[in-house]
Amino acid sequence: MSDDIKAEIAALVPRLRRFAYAICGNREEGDDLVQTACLKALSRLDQYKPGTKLDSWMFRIVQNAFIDSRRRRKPLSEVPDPAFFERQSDHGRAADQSEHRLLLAKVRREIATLPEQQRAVIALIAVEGCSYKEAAAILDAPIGTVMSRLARARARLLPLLAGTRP
Amino acid sequence: MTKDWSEQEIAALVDGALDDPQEAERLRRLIARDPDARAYADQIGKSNDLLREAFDAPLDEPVPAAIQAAIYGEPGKVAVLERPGAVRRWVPAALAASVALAVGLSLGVFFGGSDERIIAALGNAPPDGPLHRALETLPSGTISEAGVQPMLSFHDEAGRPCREFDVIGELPDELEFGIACRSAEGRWHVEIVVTAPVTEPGPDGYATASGAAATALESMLDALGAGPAMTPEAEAEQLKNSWSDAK
Repeated sequence: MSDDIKAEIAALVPRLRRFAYAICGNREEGDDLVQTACLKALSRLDQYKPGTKLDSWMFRIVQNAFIDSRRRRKPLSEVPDPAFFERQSDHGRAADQSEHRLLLAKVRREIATLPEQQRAVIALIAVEGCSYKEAAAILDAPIGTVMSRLARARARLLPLLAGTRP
Repeated sequence: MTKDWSEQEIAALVDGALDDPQEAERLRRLIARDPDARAYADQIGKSNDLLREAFDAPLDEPVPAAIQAAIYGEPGKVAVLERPGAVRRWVPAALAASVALAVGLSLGVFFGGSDERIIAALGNAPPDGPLHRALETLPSGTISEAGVQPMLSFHDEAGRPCREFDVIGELPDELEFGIACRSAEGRWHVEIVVTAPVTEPGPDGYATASGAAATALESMLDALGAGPAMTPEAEAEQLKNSWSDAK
């Protein structure tokens, strides 16, 4: 059973990396979080209830690893450098400075400035497509709190995206 | 036409979060006839698409070797990456401890292994330190890499810009809350720092101090003659001008 679970976790890695990227705003740190989360998950497989959603369980571990890392963190550079997010946005892709690419960089910057909990809610619901109920379970928060954080995050993001063409 | 819908229920439909099929059907019909509801639904859909696209780079990539090793590797062979961070010491810990005794307030002293660091201590914040930088440059609600989050800004009686802030510490269940005011020379002077247990954040995502800590902060606000909180626009203006424009 352990090997099956490993394969299932490995299959989730691309989504876990996307989620981690969205909540911490940085590819490299996101990969560290996913790595930590995988190690933690495998050391606590007994806590996973077979039949429940493995992705929800893993998102929760990634989110907790993120909170832990922020608490434990030594000061690096104190202020996120906007240019850094720009640079990251081109990772592995052509350096195409189209308007759309700039818009995506702007979206990432804007997400990075949201309070952490709003970021997690947006990442789970808008990016990962979780239901409100799933997001509430993953974040261990009442569903009303999740909806209110979502509404606040959107109030900030929507004006930014208004008037943009897809 | 009167507005008979809420943004939240339209958003829930677009997010696929409605459990009740009848409710979903009602909202779909509403969107079909109400152009404002339709426009809002489009906006939510479009922003969800953009958000997914903004972070989708990992989806096309193979699993990185380090993560592969974490999943399949032998236990003990993979080390969790810890970034060695430069530790900046703010003031000698012994000095801070004596100040803490003197004022009877807990200061932001953290012990992490052999390192100790102090994010916030009474007096002028060093201009090259994380507290000064966060207060000087970050909009309220943003958390710096060092864990400093300005919470709101206001002017005191003397016309100085002041900011409430919190600091995420090494201790899992504690936050440091403080108030600092900016002198004409451009130094952030920390007026008060208190430690309080972390409470469940309010709907706005902020944790707030409670109990004795809140009382101490409120007394300080009274002592400063704090004016109303700046609007985000007013604060943005201040940040843009490095807090130095005459009001």
